[in-house]
Amino acid sequence: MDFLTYSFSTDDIWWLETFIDDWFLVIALSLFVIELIRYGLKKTFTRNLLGDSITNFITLGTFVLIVALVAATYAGVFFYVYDNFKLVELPLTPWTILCCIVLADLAYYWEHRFLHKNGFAWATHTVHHSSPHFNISVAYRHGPLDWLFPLFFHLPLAILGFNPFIIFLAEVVVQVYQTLLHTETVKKLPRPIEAIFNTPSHHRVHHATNKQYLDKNYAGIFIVWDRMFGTFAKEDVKVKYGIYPAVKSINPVTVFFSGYVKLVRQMWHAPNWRYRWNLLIKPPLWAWQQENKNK
Amino acid sequence: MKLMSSFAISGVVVVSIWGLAMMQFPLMAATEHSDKPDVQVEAPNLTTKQSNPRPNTTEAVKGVRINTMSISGVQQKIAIKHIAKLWETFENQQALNKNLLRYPRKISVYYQNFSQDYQKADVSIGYLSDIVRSANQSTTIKGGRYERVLQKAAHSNEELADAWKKIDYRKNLQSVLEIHYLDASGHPVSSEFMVNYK
Repeated sequence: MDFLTYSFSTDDIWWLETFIDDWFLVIALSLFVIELIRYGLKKTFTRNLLGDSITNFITLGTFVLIVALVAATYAGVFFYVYDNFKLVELPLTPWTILCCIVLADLAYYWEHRFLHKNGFAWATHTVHHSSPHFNISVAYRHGPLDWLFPLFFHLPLAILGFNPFIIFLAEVVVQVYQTLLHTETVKKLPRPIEAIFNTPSHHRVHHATNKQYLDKNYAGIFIVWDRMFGTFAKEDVKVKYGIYPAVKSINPVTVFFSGYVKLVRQMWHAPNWRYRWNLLIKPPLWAWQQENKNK
Repeated sequence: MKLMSSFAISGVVVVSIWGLAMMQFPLMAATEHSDKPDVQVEAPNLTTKQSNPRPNTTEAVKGVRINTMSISGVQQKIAIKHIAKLWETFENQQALNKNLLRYPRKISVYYQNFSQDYQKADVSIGYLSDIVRSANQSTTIKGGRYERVLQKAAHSNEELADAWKKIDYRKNLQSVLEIHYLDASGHPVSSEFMVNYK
């Protein structure tokens, strides 16, 4: 077990993170090709699916450009907090990395739950959910502010003494794991795995518009968080993907800004400032209920 | 489950996992503590080695694996007691600082090719070459198993100087590696001291 306390340098951690980031995209693209072949064999390949997938990768490109602009500030905030407010300085060891991945996964759970329960945050996350399809390209369907919210939920890890390089690595590990879940190719995994880990089956439920599946399965790696906090649902009926009302467009610009365009429209037509404030902070379900009341 | 209960359980999970991460501190301290007598008791033991042979207790010293890497900065054959002069030269390397691709997080000091009396060595002080544009004046730090004499922590100059006294000079000393870790504004915050024997 000595290897768990071997010391890494920050350069080693950075190298590992970059290695995972770069090579995983290659693996994900290969898996996507396999999924396309599967769609072809099942004769479910459509022009809409192709257009939707291309749109997903265009939103990824736009998201990467935005991240390139804000990356230094994002990292700077972590280093500032770590240098000035850390309670301890945890060593750069595999053991620290494992602990950080578990805590980053818990942070992801709460961030993800917040994205679904706050109108302003949902406006960016709705882009990811707006695809009527479910394949690995959907994992790359990003909204314009997807980079912002992880900051607030992962920053406490820097205060706990996790080096920012380890936090970034843990964020990448959780994201990479999450990406792999976006598939219909894998049905159900063995029961012990389904009990502990998030799986494609659990994540299909998360992307569903079926009433019994709404706001369920927020987990990143460990589904135990949903089981513990009462947000778990098992996949037992066929999943209908997307959001309600549907975006019904494969135009990348329309898709990328759909959430905020809708939010701005709702705020423009809002009856008063209290209603506008509620649109920003209350769950999207609240806005939908208000609109239905007024009909 | 109610939101507040979920927050409370999350708090318990965070404290538990953080506690597991912090368990490394006593483990590392114990390792460091147990290293000291191992090295110290060996000296008198040598004199009685024939009559009372004991296993080489330094085998128990914890090692750290260092990857081969390259540093860029300054290098010179110099008396170790005059190392401050080389630091001065390093700090005045305007061109080197202009060629940095990003803020350095550490400065490495590498001692090799020691003289017979260990008073002189080829000393290199520098940043990792991969953050320096068109790095010349680079030195390769040989990878391998190093024995850590000072754990990564804030150490005074006296502690760093004392670290030299903890080296086992009866072994074949290959190199010494000092790493000084910097904060975001470039100030040293911690350092570690490692030794590589042939």
